Amino acid sequence: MKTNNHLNGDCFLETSVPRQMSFGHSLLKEEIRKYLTRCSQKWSSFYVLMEYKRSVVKTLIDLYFVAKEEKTPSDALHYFQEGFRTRQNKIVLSAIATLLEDSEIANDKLRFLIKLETLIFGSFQYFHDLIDKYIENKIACPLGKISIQEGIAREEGYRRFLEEIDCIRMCSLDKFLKSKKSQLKRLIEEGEKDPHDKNKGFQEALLLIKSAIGTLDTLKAKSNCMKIGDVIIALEVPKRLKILTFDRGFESSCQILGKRLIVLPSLATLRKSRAPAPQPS
Amino acid sequence: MVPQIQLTATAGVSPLQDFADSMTVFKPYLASLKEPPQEKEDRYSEFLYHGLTPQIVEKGNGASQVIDITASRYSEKPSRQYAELVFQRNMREIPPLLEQLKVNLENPEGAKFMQWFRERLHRVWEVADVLPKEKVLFLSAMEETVRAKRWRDLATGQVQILEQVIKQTESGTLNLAGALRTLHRNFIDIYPSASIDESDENE
Repeated sequence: MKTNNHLNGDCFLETSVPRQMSFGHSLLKEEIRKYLTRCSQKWSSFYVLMEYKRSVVKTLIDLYFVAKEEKTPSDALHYFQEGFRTRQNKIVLSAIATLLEDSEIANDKLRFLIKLETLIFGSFQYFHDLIDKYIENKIACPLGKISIQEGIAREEGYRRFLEEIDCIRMCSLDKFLKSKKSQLKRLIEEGEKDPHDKNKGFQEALLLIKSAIGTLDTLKAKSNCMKIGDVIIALEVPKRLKILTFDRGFESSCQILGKRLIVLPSLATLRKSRAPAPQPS
Repeated sequence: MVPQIQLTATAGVSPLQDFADSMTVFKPYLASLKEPPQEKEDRYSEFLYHGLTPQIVEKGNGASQVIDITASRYSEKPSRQYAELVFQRNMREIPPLLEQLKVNLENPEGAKFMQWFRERLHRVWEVADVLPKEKVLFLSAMEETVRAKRWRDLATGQVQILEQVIKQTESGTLNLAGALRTLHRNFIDIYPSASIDESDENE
């Protein structure tokens, strides 16, 4: 597997990187910063941008409207965390929870709404500010291109964003996958072998690809597109770029497809490495 | 023994009397105004608000009415122009504070400049209701740049960037998007940090 931690030249930021860079744990932010300062150019794709918008911007806008309805900021967050927490949005919710440690925000709904708007506006722009270049948009995912339009009342802009981010399959994902059919077959063949058969995230995507390998059309469905997201990204990234991610699910697809990969350390690993060494007694 | 309250007034002359005497310079003007009847039962509150509020002559709860009217008068929303003025004035006062902060990041002197910087932001929050949304979001972002940070946690470069962003925003040469771009590209964090990792199963 071409996994190494030397990052010279250009890198490709997978969705978990901008998400953790904006709302992740402070140790993870620091770690990413170290890598990014050594990276000459930061690339990404509109597919990744779509995933970022769905997991970060959409979560914040949804929370904004819930907070407007609920009595207090805590009620809004509690409601959201209980019922609508996914792996992708849980760090955003956890980060917002830390904001409520400030009593001025926790006890002032208007102030909380202003904070959410600041984060919506900021995070929306964040991705573009972080990325230097985008790879060719072969999937033609229109969701990556939608924006909170300037010049219209802000809440109306949020409403339109939520409408547009709901996929209506106006993309070329089916064509893209068909053009990569031989690579998909290779993933299926190699994916059954050790150690890939133990890679849970990869196996879930693989199962779906196997079931659709005949026509590939069903993979264009919204829920399926999201489930095979890691494979789509691994397929679309040019070989010359190193994929930077926190997601170990990429290890299998990148190894099989011959893509270069850097998996950043998890929070647990970073904490262990920073823990003081036990003193000899 | 009952502790005595120390007053700085001259013996035999109360501080309130001093204040009343100081008003005598206005007597030629005030003399032309017919004074309304005064209620004597509550001289303390009457004196405090004299000249600031309409006089309440109703018997009984006069004092509380004076306070209510005064409170409502001051809780009225400030005008947009006033809010803009407060924004502008405080934003102009911040860069010199940040200049001082920058050279005192490694000594205790820096703490007060950080504190005064926060105070200036706080003053603008008080009129935020009537400020344009773009300015409120800018103010909010500025507040986030120093949330939970002590002055000695900051680096000279970060303070420099903040100073530039505030100066340019105040002068109108930088809009909100531009200010955020500068912060983002210089790795100045305005986002809260999660306490967990995405991969944590049992947090």
